[in-house]
Amino acid sequence: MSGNLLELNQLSKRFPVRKGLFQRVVGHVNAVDGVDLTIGRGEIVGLAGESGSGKSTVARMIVGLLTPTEGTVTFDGEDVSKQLGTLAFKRRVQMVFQNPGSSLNPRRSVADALKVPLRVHGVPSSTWAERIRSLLEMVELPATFAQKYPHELSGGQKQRVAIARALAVQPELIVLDEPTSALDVSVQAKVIELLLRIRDELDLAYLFISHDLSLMRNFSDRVGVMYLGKLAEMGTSDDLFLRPQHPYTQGLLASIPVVSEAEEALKPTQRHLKGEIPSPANVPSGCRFRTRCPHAFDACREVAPTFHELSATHASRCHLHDPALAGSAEPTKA
Amino acid sequence: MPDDAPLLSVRDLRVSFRTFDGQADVLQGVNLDVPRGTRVGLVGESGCGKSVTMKTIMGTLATPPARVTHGQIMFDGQDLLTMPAARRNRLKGTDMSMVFQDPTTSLNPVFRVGHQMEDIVRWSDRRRGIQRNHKARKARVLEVLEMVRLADGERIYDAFPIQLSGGMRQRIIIGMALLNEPRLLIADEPGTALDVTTQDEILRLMDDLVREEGLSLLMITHNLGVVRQMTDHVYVMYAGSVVEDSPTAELFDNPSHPYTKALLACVPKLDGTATYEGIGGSLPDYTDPPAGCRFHPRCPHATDRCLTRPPAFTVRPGHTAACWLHEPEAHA
Ligand SMILES: Nc1ncnc2c1ncn2[C@@H]1O[C@H](COP(=O)(O)OP(=O)(O)OP(=O)(O)O)[C@@H](O)[C@H]1O
Ligand SMILES: Nc1ncnc2c1ncn2[C@@H]1O[C@H](COP(=O)(O)OP(=O)(O)OP(=O)(O)O)[C@@H](O)[C@H]1O
Ligand SMILES: [Mg+2]
Ligand SMILES: [Mg+2]
Repeated sequence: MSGNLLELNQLSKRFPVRKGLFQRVVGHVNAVDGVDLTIGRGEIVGLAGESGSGKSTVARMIVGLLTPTEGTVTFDGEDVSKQLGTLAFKRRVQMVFQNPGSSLNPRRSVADALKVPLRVHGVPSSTWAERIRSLLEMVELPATFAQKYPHELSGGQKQRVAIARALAVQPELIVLDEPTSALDVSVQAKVIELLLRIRDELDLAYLFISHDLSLMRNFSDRVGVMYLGKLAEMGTSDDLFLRPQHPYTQGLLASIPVVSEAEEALKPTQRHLKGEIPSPANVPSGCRFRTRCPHAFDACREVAPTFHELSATHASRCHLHDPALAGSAEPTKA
Repeated sequence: MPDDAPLLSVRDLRVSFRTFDGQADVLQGVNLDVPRGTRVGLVGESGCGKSVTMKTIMGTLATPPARVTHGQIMFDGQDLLTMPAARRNRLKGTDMSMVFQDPTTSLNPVFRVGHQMEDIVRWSDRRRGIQRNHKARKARVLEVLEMVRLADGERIYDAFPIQLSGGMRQRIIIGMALLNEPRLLIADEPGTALDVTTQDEILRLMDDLVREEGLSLLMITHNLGVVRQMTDHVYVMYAGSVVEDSPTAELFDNPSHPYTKALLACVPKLDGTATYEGIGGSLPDYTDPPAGCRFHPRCPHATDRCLTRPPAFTVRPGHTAACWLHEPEAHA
């Protein structure tokens, strides 16, 4: 596809596991294992999955904080795999982290925090003051906030500053790793509204990572569900939340805490996921989800499932979608 | 003491802090009951006073700067605020326990799990004035590890926290709170993100324990979904007082205080119909709070009436809302 802003192709990250006095490498953690993902211009793509499934590792590779072990990253049609950490690429892709407190230097005023990216990216200093004013306006903070220090700001205000800082260099993609998990729902609502407005105004794309699946359902255009470093299911928000096909997605959705009976009725009736996510240093054979899957059958132990295209937008990595293999197995209930 | 009296009953609790900007009147007359064997939730936004309430109950609030200016905290028929310090300390270490669901602050990374848990047993024994040897203490630890459904107790006893998954660490923290066989468990949930499956699993475990061990639970959180799933009765707190309280199902079916409604409206819904309006304005400054109903500057229904503080009006049996909209005459 040519229209994509970002394309991940078989992106992988392997971390060595070291042990003992001499820190010998005794194994590897396949934190991310062959992820294919696209993000269009102006699109919001969500990544869901349990803790340790590799979401942040994907994010950190995209912004150049980690070097991929394998695979390629294409940005705006150009292979940027070798430039991920470079200044030129960093200008186009920015990141906002979960903890608004720790991502700001306590001894730096808001204006100083915003000057850092401007200086690093060689924006002429004569324009800084004007730029800072318009950035604050963009994130709906009064101009007087330029002189404030982090301890004078609320959590939501700090997150706005972090967003302003990400916007300073006019990126095309912002990676949002749990941007609102530390915020109250009322503050979260306003930050999300801000992010949506900026997206519309600047035609930005977001990669959005969160454990709040109800928020993800509302905020994301498309969603990928990761399990042990691999995407298990990918589709539009409607595909995933109205018609989840992978048993893992169904299990995840069944665990969402909701606030009304109407929402309760939207959750899959499937039993809750049992057991723990296995160690990524020791991934099960065949389908990596089989050890927790309520539908697992013989083939799941032997053959790793590939993605089955269920529609133009929806794909799921499960043998149940393969009539030849799943013939005798019970079908999934959506 | 009649058995139908609540295990914990907080009455008109007021707490102030001395700050640089003057006196901050944070708790403004909190009323809250935890009946025996029930699960009670306390919800509200960051800064509304949940932790101050909880710390006052546990007696861990630093005084000064804090000062309890008024109120009672009845535990099993005795007022915690007036009893001798020694007795209160004993109660704190034996009959009530806190769960901070934050593994990073509750578990020390440099000591083995078993070592940390045995320390707690030793402390709790000392408070009770009993003494057990290492073997008996270890037996108690293993018993509790089994209670929190950690199968491989011996291995976990010898493990360092880092060698365990997030879910296992959460279980250990709950286990630590059970070591002293408390009757009241207070869980203060942090804002950190647990994944939905781990959260679900931990909530189920707590639920089972409350039932099996006959515990009473006071759960403090700002996650309304968790409260709905986990509790029998909910208290909604805003700026230092309870604005609405109700049986849980009834609260979610029929939220009555404008603040509760606004808060519920902020929760993204699974049906994809989220609106992102939030609640206009912010929590008041406790050194200079608004007169009357502290929510009135942010309330779409505010009138002059609201400059006088509303009492808790009964909306339905067992369900009250501190809002003039629910004054009985107003309906007549
Ligand atoms: N620097 C590292 N060295 C070794 N292992 C790592 C490193 N960073 C991450 N991992 C491992 O890679 C796996 C994926 O981690 P990652 O942080 O990407 O998960 P996540 O999906 O973001 O989880 P969470 O929801 O908890 O943030 C985990 O098993 C983690 O322990
Ligand atoms: N030691 C203190 N000195 C001054 N003010 C304090 C002190 N401790 C708490 N407060 C104030 O009391 C108010 C209530 O705080 P509290 O910690 O109870 O909030 P909370 O409801 O637990 O919030 P969160 O959800 O963020 O944990 C806050 O405005 C806080 O600033
Ligand atoms: Mg992460
Ligand atoms: Mg608190």
